[in-house]
Amino acid sequence: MGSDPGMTELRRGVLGPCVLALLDERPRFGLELVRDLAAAGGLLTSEGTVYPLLNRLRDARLVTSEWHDPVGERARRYYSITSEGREQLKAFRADWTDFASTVESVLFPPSAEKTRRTPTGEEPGDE
Amino acid sequence: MSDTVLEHPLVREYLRELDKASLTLPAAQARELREQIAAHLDEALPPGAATEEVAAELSRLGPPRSLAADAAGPDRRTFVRRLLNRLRRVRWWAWVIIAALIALAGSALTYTLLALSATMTQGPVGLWYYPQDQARTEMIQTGLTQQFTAPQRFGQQGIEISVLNDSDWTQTVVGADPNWTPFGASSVQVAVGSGESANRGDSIQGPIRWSSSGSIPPHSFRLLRVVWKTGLCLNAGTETSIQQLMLTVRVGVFTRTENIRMYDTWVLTGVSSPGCR
Repeated sequence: MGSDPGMTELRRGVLGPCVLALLDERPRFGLELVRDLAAAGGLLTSEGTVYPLLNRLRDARLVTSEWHDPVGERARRYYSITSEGREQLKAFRADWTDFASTVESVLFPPSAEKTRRTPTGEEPGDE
Repeated sequence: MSDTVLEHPLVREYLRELDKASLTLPAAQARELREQIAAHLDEALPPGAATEEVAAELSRLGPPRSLAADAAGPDRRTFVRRLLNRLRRVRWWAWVIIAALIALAGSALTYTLLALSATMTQGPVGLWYYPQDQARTEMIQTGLTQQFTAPQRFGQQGIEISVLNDSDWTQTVVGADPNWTPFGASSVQVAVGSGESANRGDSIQGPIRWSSSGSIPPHSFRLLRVVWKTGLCLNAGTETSIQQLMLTVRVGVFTRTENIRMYDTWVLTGVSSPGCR
Protein backbone atom coordinates (compact mmCIF):
# COMPACT_ATOMS: atom_id res chain seq x y z
CA MET A 1 0.00 0.00 0.00
CA GLY A 2 1.22 3.54 -0.70
CA SER A 3 2.86 5.69 1.94
CA ASP A 4 1.70 9.14 0.83
CA PRO A 5 0.16 11.46 3.44
CA GLY A 6 -3.36 10.82 2.13
CA MET A 7 -3.05 7.07 2.67
CA THR A 8 -1.51 7.63 6.09
CA GLU A 9 -4.51 9.72 7.10
CA LEU A 10 -6.88 7.13 5.66
CA ARG A 11 -5.20 4.35 7.64
CA ARG A 12 -5.31 6.48 10.76
CA GLY A 13 -9.03 7.01 10.21
CA VAL A 14 -9.92 3.32 9.85
CA LEU A 15 -7.51 1.94 12.43
CA GLY A 16 -9.83 2.68 15.35
CA PRO A 17 -12.77 0.71 13.90
CA CYS A 18 -10.38 -2.10 12.97
CA VAL A 19 -9.15 -2.28 16.56
CA LEU A 20 -12.74 -2.33 17.76
CA ALA A 21 -13.52 -5.11 15.29
CA LEU A 22 -10.65 -7.26 16.58
CA LEU A 23 -11.65 -6.66 20.17
CA ASP A 24 -15.23 -7.51 19.26
CA GLU A 25 -14.02 -11.03 18.50
CA ARG A 26 -12.31 -11.41 21.86
CA PRO A 27 -10.22 -9.42 24.35
CA ARG A 28 -6.59 -9.05 23.29
CA PHE A 29 -3.40 -7.82 24.91
CA GLY A 30 -1.30 -5.10 23.31
CA LEU A 31 1.28 -7.10 21.39
CA GLU A 32 -1.35 -9.58 20.24
CA LEU A 33 -3.49 -6.78 18.87
CA VAL A 34 -0.50 -5.19 17.14
CA ARG A 35 0.52 -8.50 15.56
CA ASP A 36 -3.02 -9.20 14.34
CA LEU A 37 -3.33 -5.73 12.79
CA ALA A 38 0.10 -6.09 11.18
CA ALA A 39 -0.85 -9.48 9.83
CA ALA A 40 -3.89 -7.95 8.12
CA GLY A 41 -1.37 -5.99 6.05
CA GLY A 42 -1.26 -2.30 5.17
CA LEU A 43 -3.17 -1.04 8.17
CA LEU A 44 -0.25 0.11 10.29
CA THR A 45 2.29 2.76 9.36
CA SER A 46 4.06 2.02 12.63
CA GLU A 47 3.10 -0.51 15.27
CA GLY A 48 3.65 1.84 18.17
CA THR A 49 0.75 4.07 17.15
CA VAL A 50 -1.68 1.36 18.28
CA TYR A 51 -1.00 2.19 21.93
CA PRO A 52 -1.93 5.90 21.85
CA LEU A 53 -4.99 4.84 19.85
CA LEU A 54 -5.98 2.27 22.49
CA ASN A 55 -5.65 4.94 25.16
CA ARG A 56 -7.85 7.32 23.19
CA LEU A 57 -10.48 4.60 22.68
CA ARG A 58 -10.42 3.87 26.38
CA ASP A 59 -10.76 7.59 27.21
CA ALA A 60 -13.77 7.64 24.87
CA ARG A 61 -15.19 4.62 26.82
CA LEU A 62 -15.17 2.44 23.70
CA VAL A 63 -12.71 -0.04 25.23
CA THR A 64 -11.63 -0.97 28.71
CA SER A 65 -8.36 -2.45 29.90
CA GLU A 66 -7.64 -4.86 32.69
CA TRP A 67 -4.51 -6.52 34.00
CA HIS A 68 -4.39 -10.33 33.95
CA ASP A 69 -1.69 -11.84 36.12
CA PRO A 70 -2.02 -15.64 36.11
CA VAL A 71 0.39 -17.53 38.35
CA GLY A 72 3.54 -18.52 36.49
CA GLU A 73 2.72 -16.44 33.43
CA ARG A 74 3.53 -12.99 32.24
CA ALA A 75 1.23 -10.22 33.51
CA ARG A 76 -0.60 -8.61 30.60
CA ARG A 77 -2.99 -5.79 30.11
CA TYR A 78 -6.02 -7.01 28.16
CA TYR A 79 -8.25 -4.70 26.18
CA SER A 80 -11.96 -5.38 25.72
CA ILE A 81 -14.65 -3.62 23.74
CA THR A 82 -17.48 -1.94 25.66
CA SER A 83 -21.13 -1.83 24.68
CA GLU A 84 -20.59 1.73 23.47
CA GLY A 85 -17.68 0.47 21.39
CA ARG A 86 -19.91 -2.17 19.84
CA GLU A 87 -22.53 0.42 18.99
CA GLN A 88 -19.92 2.59 17.35
CA LEU A 89 -18.46 -0.34 15.45
CA LYS A 90 -21.90 -1.30 14.21
CA ALA A 91 -22.54 2.25 13.00
CA PHE A 92 -19.14 2.42 11.33
CA ARG A 93 -19.67 -0.87 9.53
CA ALA A 94 -22.92 0.43 8.09
CA ASP A 95 -21.36 3.75 7.08
CA TRP A 96 -18.28 2.09 5.69
CA THR A 97 -20.24 -0.04 3.22
CA ASP A 98 -21.93 3.04 1.77
CA PHE A 99 -18.76 5.08 1.91
CA ALA A 100 -16.60 2.43 0.23
CA SER A 101 -19.17 1.96 -2.48
CA THR A 102 -19.33 5.74 -3.10
CA VAL A 103 -15.55 6.04 -3.25
CA GLU A 104 -15.41 3.02 -5.56
CA SER A 105 -17.95 4.54 -7.93
CA VAL A 106 -16.10 7.88 -8.06
CA LEU A 107 -12.61 6.43 -8.38
CA PHE A 108 -13.59 3.84 -10.95
CA PRO A 109 -16.45 5.16 -13.14
CA PRO A 110 -17.72 2.87 -15.90
CA SER A 111 -15.83 4.95 -18.50
CA ALA A 112 -12.56 4.06 -16.75
CA GLU A 113 -13.42 0.38 -16.51
CA LYS A 114 -11.43 -0.52 -19.55
CA THR A 115 -8.22 0.91 -18.06
CA ARG A 116 -8.78 -0.55 -14.62
CA ARG A 117 -6.33 -3.23 -13.80
CA THR A 118 -7.14 -6.46 -12.06
CA PRO A 119 -5.09 -7.45 -8.99
CA THR A 120 -2.90 -9.57 -11.28
CA GLY A 121 -2.06 -6.55 -13.41
CA GLU A 122 -4.05 -7.69 -16.43
CA GLU A 123 -6.57 -5.51 -18.22
CA PRO A 124 -10.15 -6.77 -17.70
CA GLY A 125 -11.17 -8.89 -20.58
CA ASP A 126 -7.61 -9.63 -21.59
CA GLU A 127 -7.99 -13.33 -20.96
CA MET B 1 23.07 -11.73 29.59
CA SER B 2 20.23 -9.71 31.09
CA ASP B 3 16.81 -11.20 32.02
CA THR B 4 15.00 -8.72 29.88
CA VAL B 5 15.53 -7.03 26.55
CA LEU B 6 14.73 -3.72 28.26
CA GLU B 7 18.40 -3.60 29.32
CA HIS B 8 19.55 -3.67 25.70
CA PRO B 9 21.33 -0.38 24.87
CA LEU B 10 19.11 0.27 21.84
CA VAL B 11 15.95 -0.28 23.86
CA ARG B 12 17.20 1.91 26.68
CA GLU B 13 18.03 4.66 24.21
CA TYR B 14 14.61 4.30 22.57
CA LEU B 15 12.80 4.57 25.90
CA ARG B 16 14.95 7.55 26.87
CA GLU B 17 13.98 9.26 23.61
CA LEU B 18 10.34 8.41 24.28
CA ASP B 19 10.58 9.99 27.75
CA LYS B 20 12.04 13.11 26.21
CA ALA B 21 9.41 13.30 23.49
CA SER B 22 6.63 12.73 26.05
CA LEU B 23 7.58 15.77 28.10
CA THR B 24 4.70 17.69 26.56
CA LEU B 25 2.17 15.03 27.63
CA PRO B 26 0.40 14.91 30.97
CA ALA B 27 2.56 12.84 33.33
CA ALA B 28 0.04 9.98 33.70
CA GLN B 29 -0.39 9.71 29.93
CA ALA B 30 3.38 9.68 29.37
CA ARG B 31 3.83 7.03 32.06
CA GLU B 32 1.14 4.81 30.56
CA LEU B 33 2.56 5.07 27.04
CA ARG B 34 6.03 4.16 28.28
CA GLU B 35 4.67 1.20 30.20
CA GLN B 36 2.80 -0.04 27.10
CA ILE B 37 5.83 0.29 24.83
CA ALA B 38 8.11 -1.35 27.39
CA ALA B 39 5.67 -4.25 27.80
CA HIS B 40 5.44 -4.58 24.02
CA LEU B 41 9.22 -4.80 23.63
CA ASP B 42 9.63 -7.08 26.60
CA GLU B 43 7.19 -9.57 25.13
CA ALA B 44 8.13 -9.16 21.47
CA LEU B 45 11.85 -9.75 21.96
CA PRO B 46 13.66 -12.49 23.88
CA PRO B 47 16.15 -11.39 26.56
CA GLY B 48 19.16 -12.22 24.40
CA ALA B 49 17.83 -10.73 21.17
CA ALA B 50 20.43 -9.79 18.59
CA THR B 51 20.99 -6.13 17.91
CA GLU B 52 19.59 -6.46 14.38
CA GLU B 53 16.44 -8.08 15.77
CA VAL B 54 16.04 -5.30 18.35
CA ALA B 55 16.64 -2.60 15.74
CA ALA B 56 14.00 -4.14 13.45
CA GLU B 57 11.41 -4.26 16.24
CA LEU B 58 12.10 -0.65 17.22
CA SER B 59 11.81 0.36 13.59
CA ARG B 60 8.39 -1.32 13.37
CA LEU B 61 7.27 0.56 16.48
CA GLY B 62 8.12 3.87 14.83
CA PRO B 63 10.06 6.93 16.06
CA PRO B 64 9.42 7.89 19.70
CA ARG B 65 8.52 11.41 18.60
CA SER B 66 5.72 10.05 16.39
CA LEU B 67 4.32 7.99 19.26
CA ALA B 68 4.35 10.99 21.59
CA ALA B 69 2.77 13.16 18.89
CA ASP B 70 0.07 10.52 18.33
CA ALA B 71 -0.58 10.35 22.06
CA ALA B 72 -0.85 14.15 22.25
CA GLY B 73 -3.60 14.12 19.62
CA PRO B 74 -4.47 16.84 17.09
CA ASP B 75 -4.03 19.76 19.52
CA ARG B 76 -0.49 18.73 20.36
CA ARG B 77 0.87 21.96 18.99
CA THR B 78 -1.16 24.13 21.36
CA PHE B 79 1.36 26.25 23.17
CA VAL B 80 -0.73 26.67 26.31
CA ARG B 81 -1.25 22.94 26.61
CA ARG B 82 2.44 22.23 26.23
CA LEU B 83 3.28 24.90 28.74
CA LEU B 84 0.76 23.59 31.27
CA ASN B 85 2.03 20.06 30.88
CA ARG B 86 5.57 21.20 31.43
CA LEU B 87 4.55 23.20 34.48
CA ARG B 88 2.73 20.21 35.92
CA ARG B 89 5.97 18.28 35.76
CA VAL B 90 7.92 20.78 37.81
CA ARG B 91 8.79 19.19 41.16
CA TRP B 92 7.61 20.71 44.44
CA TRP B 93 11.12 21.65 45.49
CA ALA B 94 11.62 23.46 42.21
CA TRP B 95 8.49 25.49 42.97
CA VAL B 96 9.93 26.28 46.41
CA ILE B 97 13.15 27.49 44.79
CA ILE B 98 11.22 29.52 42.20
CA ALA B 99 9.06 31.07 44.94
CA ALA B 100 12.16 31.90 46.98
CA LEU B 101 13.83 33.47 43.95
CA ILE B 102 10.72 35.52 43.17
CA ALA B 103 10.52 36.66 46.81
CA LEU B 104 14.22 37.52 46.72
CA ALA B 105 13.88 39.43 43.46
CA GLY B 106 10.80 41.22 44.80
CA SER B 107 12.61 42.20 47.99
CA ALA B 108 15.64 43.37 46.01
CA LEU B 109 13.42 45.44 43.72
CA THR B 110 11.54 46.95 46.67
CA TYR B 111 14.83 47.71 48.41
CA THR B 112 16.21 49.35 45.27
CA LEU B 113 13.12 51.44 44.62
CA LEU B 114 12.89 52.61 48.23
CA ALA B 115 16.61 53.38 48.43
CA LEU B 116 16.58 55.30 45.17
CA SER B 117 13.49 57.27 46.14
CA ALA B 118 15.00 58.59 49.41
CA THR B 119 15.23 62.40 49.20
CA MET B 120 16.42 65.43 51.14
CA THR B 121 14.78 68.86 51.39
CA GLN B 122 16.09 72.18 52.56
CA GLY B 123 15.40 73.20 56.17
CA PRO B 124 14.89 76.72 57.56
CA VAL B 125 18.59 77.70 57.81
CA GLY B 126 20.29 79.41 54.86
CA LEU B 127 23.43 81.59 55.10
CA TRP B 128 26.52 82.53 53.19
CA TYR B 129 29.25 80.54 54.88
CA TYR B 130 31.92 83.26 55.00
CA PRO B 131 31.13 86.26 57.25
CA GLN B 132 32.29 88.80 54.65
CA ASP B 133 29.76 87.45 52.14
CA GLN B 134 27.02 87.26 54.76
CA ALA B 135 27.80 90.85 55.84
CA ARG B 136 27.36 92.15 52.29
CA THR B 137 24.37 90.04 51.35
CA GLU B 138 21.09 91.46 50.21
CA MET B 139 18.00 89.43 50.90
CA ILE B 140 14.80 89.66 48.89
CA GLN B 141 11.74 87.77 50.11
CA THR B 142 9.28 86.60 47.47
CA GLY B 143 6.50 84.60 49.02
CA LEU B 144 8.07 81.59 50.68
CA THR B 145 11.30 81.89 48.74
CA GLN B 146 14.25 84.13 49.47
CA GLN B 147 17.01 85.40 47.29
CA PHE B 148 20.44 86.00 48.83
CA THR B 149 22.68 88.16 46.71
CA ALA B 150 26.36 88.72 47.43
CA PRO B 151 29.21 90.14 45.36
CA GLN B 152 31.53 87.76 43.64
CA ARG B 153 34.94 87.35 45.25
CA PHE B 154 38.02 85.62 44.02
CA GLY B 155 38.72 82.69 46.26
CA GLN B 156 36.55 80.51 48.43
CA GLN B 157 32.86 81.27 48.74
CA GLY B 158 30.12 79.05 50.08
CA ILE B 159 26.78 78.59 51.71
CA GLU B 160 25.45 76.61 54.62
CA ILE B 161 21.90 75.39 54.80
CA SER B 162 19.98 72.99 56.97
CA VAL B 163 18.62 69.89 55.27
CA LEU B 164 16.03 67.35 56.31
CA ASN B 165 16.42 63.69 55.43
CA ASP B 166 12.70 62.93 55.20
CA SER B 167 13.17 59.26 54.24
CA ASP B 168 13.37 56.06 56.29
CA TRP B 169 17.00 55.57 55.22
CA THR B 170 20.26 56.93 56.50
CA GLN B 171 21.73 59.06 53.75
CA THR B 172 25.45 59.67 53.63
CA VAL B 173 26.62 62.73 51.75
CA VAL B 174 29.85 61.65 50.08
CA GLY B 175 30.56 64.93 48.27
CA ALA B 176 29.46 67.10 45.38
CA ASP B 177 28.47 65.46 42.14
CA PRO B 178 31.62 65.54 39.97
CA ASN B 179 29.68 67.08 37.07
CA TRP B 180 28.22 69.92 39.14
CA THR B 181 30.06 73.24 38.79
CA PRO B 182 28.23 75.99 40.73
CA PHE B 183 29.43 79.44 39.61
CA GLY B 184 31.97 77.79 37.34
CA ALA B 185 33.75 76.42 40.38
CA SER B 186 36.94 74.51 39.85
CA SER B 187 36.46 72.59 43.09
CA VAL B 188 33.51 72.04 45.35
CA GLN B 189 33.71 70.73 48.89
CA VAL B 190 30.73 69.50 50.83
CA ALA B 191 30.51 68.73 54.54
CA VAL B 192 27.75 67.68 56.91
CA GLY B 193 27.54 69.51 60.23
CA SER B 194 26.06 68.08 63.39
CA GLY B 195 25.56 69.54 66.85
CA GLU B 196 22.74 70.34 69.21
CA SER B 197 21.29 73.21 67.17
CA ALA B 198 22.35 71.74 63.82
CA ASN B 199 20.43 68.58 64.61
CA ARG B 200 17.32 70.62 65.29
CA GLY B 201 17.78 72.27 61.91
CA ASP B 202 16.64 75.70 63.04
CA SER B 203 19.90 77.57 63.83
CA ILE B 204 23.69 77.41 63.73
CA GLN B 205 24.27 78.26 67.38
CA GLY B 206 26.77 76.28 69.45
CA PRO B 207 29.60 74.01 68.37
CA ILE B 208 29.24 72.20 65.05
CA ARG B 209 31.25 69.15 64.01
CA TRP B 210 31.87 69.07 60.28
CA SER B 211 32.40 65.84 58.46
CA SER B 212 33.31 65.68 54.78
CA SER B 213 31.48 62.38 54.38
CA GLY B 214 28.65 62.76 56.82
CA SER B 215 25.58 60.68 57.48
CA ILE B 216 22.12 62.04 58.06
CA PRO B 217 19.87 59.64 59.99
CA PRO B 218 16.27 59.09 58.85
CA HIS B 219 13.87 61.97 59.53
CA SER B 220 16.67 64.16 60.92
CA PHE B 221 18.08 67.62 60.29
CA ARG B 222 21.73 68.40 59.71
CA LEU B 223 23.67 71.35 58.36
CA LEU B 224 25.17 71.18 54.92
CA ARG B 225 28.18 73.30 54.01
CA VAL B 226 29.01 73.77 50.37
CA VAL B 227 32.19 75.69 49.60
CA TRP B 228 33.61 76.39 46.19
CA LYS B 229 36.27 78.45 44.53
CA THR B 230 34.39 80.80 42.22
CA GLY B 231 35.68 80.38 38.71
CA LEU B 232 33.67 83.05 36.89
CA CYS B 233 34.65 86.57 35.97
CA LEU B 234 31.41 88.53 36.06
CA ASN B 235 31.21 92.04 34.74
CA ALA B 236 29.67 94.68 36.93
CA GLY B 237 25.90 94.65 36.66
CA THR B 238 25.70 90.99 35.74
CA GLU B 239 24.80 88.10 38.02
CA THR B 240 24.53 84.36 38.15
CA SER B 241 22.69 82.09 40.54
CA ILE B 242 22.10 78.56 41.79
CA GLN B 243 18.89 77.09 43.22
CA GLN B 244 19.87 73.49 43.58
CA LEU B 245 22.62 71.32 44.98
CA MET B 246 23.81 68.23 43.20
CA LEU B 247 25.38 65.84 45.67
CA THR B 248 26.77 62.34 45.61
CA VAL B 249 24.78 60.48 48.24
CA ARG B 250 25.03 56.89 49.44
CA VAL B 251 21.81 55.15 50.48
CA GLY B 252 22.14 51.53 51.55
CA VAL B 253 24.36 49.89 48.95
CA PHE B 254 23.59 52.50 46.30
CA THR B 255 25.57 55.63 45.57
CA ARG B 256 23.73 58.12 43.40
CA THR B 257 23.41 61.78 42.51
CA GLU B 258 20.79 63.58 44.55
CA ASN B 259 19.41 66.86 43.34
CA ILE B 260 18.31 69.03 46.27
CA ARG B 261 16.07 71.85 45.11
CA MET B 262 16.39 74.78 47.52
CA TYR B 263 13.74 77.28 48.57
CA ASP B 264 16.45 79.94 48.43
CA THR B 265 18.19 81.33 45.41
CA TRP B 266 21.88 82.18 45.82
CA VAL B 267 23.10 84.96 43.57
CA LEU B 268 26.57 86.28 42.87
CA THR B 269 26.86 89.68 41.23
CA GLY B 270 29.74 90.94 39.12
CA VAL B 271 32.02 93.68 40.36
CA SER B 272 34.40 96.05 38.60
CA SER B 273 37.44 94.33 39.74
CA PRO B 274 41.00 94.56 38.59
CA GLY B 275 41.44 91.02 39.83
CA CYS B 276 39.21 89.79 37.09
CA ARG B 277 41.68 88.83 34.41
